[in-house]
Amino acid sequence: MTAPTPVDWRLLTDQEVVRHAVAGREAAYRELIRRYQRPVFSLVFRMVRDRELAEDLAQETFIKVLNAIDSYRPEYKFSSWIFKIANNAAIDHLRRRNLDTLSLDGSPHAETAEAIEATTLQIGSDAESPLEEVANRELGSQIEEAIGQLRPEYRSCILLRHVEGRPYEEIAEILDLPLGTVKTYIHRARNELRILLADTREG
Amino acid sequence: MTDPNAHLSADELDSLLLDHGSSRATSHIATCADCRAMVSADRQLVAALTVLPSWDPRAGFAERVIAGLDRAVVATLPATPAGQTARSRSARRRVLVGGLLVGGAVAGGFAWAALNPAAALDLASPALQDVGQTLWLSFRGVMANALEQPWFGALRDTLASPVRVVPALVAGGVAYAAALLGLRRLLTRPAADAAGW
Repeated sequence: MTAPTPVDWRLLTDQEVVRHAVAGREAAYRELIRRYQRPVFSLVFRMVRDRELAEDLAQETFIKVLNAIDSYRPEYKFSSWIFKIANNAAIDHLRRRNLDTLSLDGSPHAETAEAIEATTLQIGSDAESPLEEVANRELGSQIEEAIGQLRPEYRSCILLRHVEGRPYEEIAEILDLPLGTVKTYIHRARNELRILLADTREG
Repeated sequence: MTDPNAHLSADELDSLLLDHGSSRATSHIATCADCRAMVSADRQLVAALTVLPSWDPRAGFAERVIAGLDRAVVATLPATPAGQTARSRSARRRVLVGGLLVGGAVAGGFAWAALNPAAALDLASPALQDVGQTLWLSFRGVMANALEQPWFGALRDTLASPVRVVPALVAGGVAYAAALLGLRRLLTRPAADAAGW
């Protein structure tokens, strides 16, 4: 009996990794988790604004996806599928509970003041002055707070478009919305963010 | 025809944010201060959104996900890791040979002790002898107690009669299998369409 050929997972497309996962290779499961744990967790965390809960929902998302990997349709992007499930999990939770008022400064796992400081949002180039750095860091926190005040649908749209960099067509697929609606939501979300940020600065 | 003085549409604004706006949009913002300010503010906002940090879940996330998968899915995973190397096969062989040597030595020791009980007892420490005696006395006490019980006679008769013991074993096996099936049913997740497609 010949041993299976070693696979360089990083060279494979999502579809190819999924084929290995469907064949039952645990390494393929782990590769899918490695590729998507960060964007999925970040998206869910920004949606629900609770660290422990975001971890649970991200875990639930991956378990759903991997348990149903046989039903994945390769004509869709894998990223669309997993973001769709993650977003649905977050939206479902938001509909059940109203958790929009928690702080989102720093890393989700920062426990101490130093850790929070070290992981607080960094915006701008390395060449900025200390004053600019403070201003940009403050802007990052303000943006996070403002995103948290958007309607969940707007929040999903703006995060997928401008934080995750997904094209409009994929966002429409993820959210099961017409393309025009996605564009409208993103446009309105940007307008609301501008207004919220202006209010914050004036306040 | 589009009115050259009309303010930017959402699509035109998007295309300007992507740096490929139409000539109408580009020329419009050159003359309209409101639209120019909106494009500028949106560009700043998008730039800030683009560089927001992303986070990893806690260490061990993959393990927790794998542990949470349905038993049916885990069962499809290969028993041995895919892509075994010659090094890992050699390591497995060494572990197997070592295990056989240790097992053989233990079995040989028991065989020698059975053949030479006096020498084995001499070798054993007094403490070990005390432990052995205590265990033996406990066993004898339990057995003597069981022999005095009123149900012991019925149990002995049942075990002595194949006609009685076989149906009892079959009934026990069926009950065990039913319990396992029930447990599996309880632990199986509902077969919902995970993503709705």
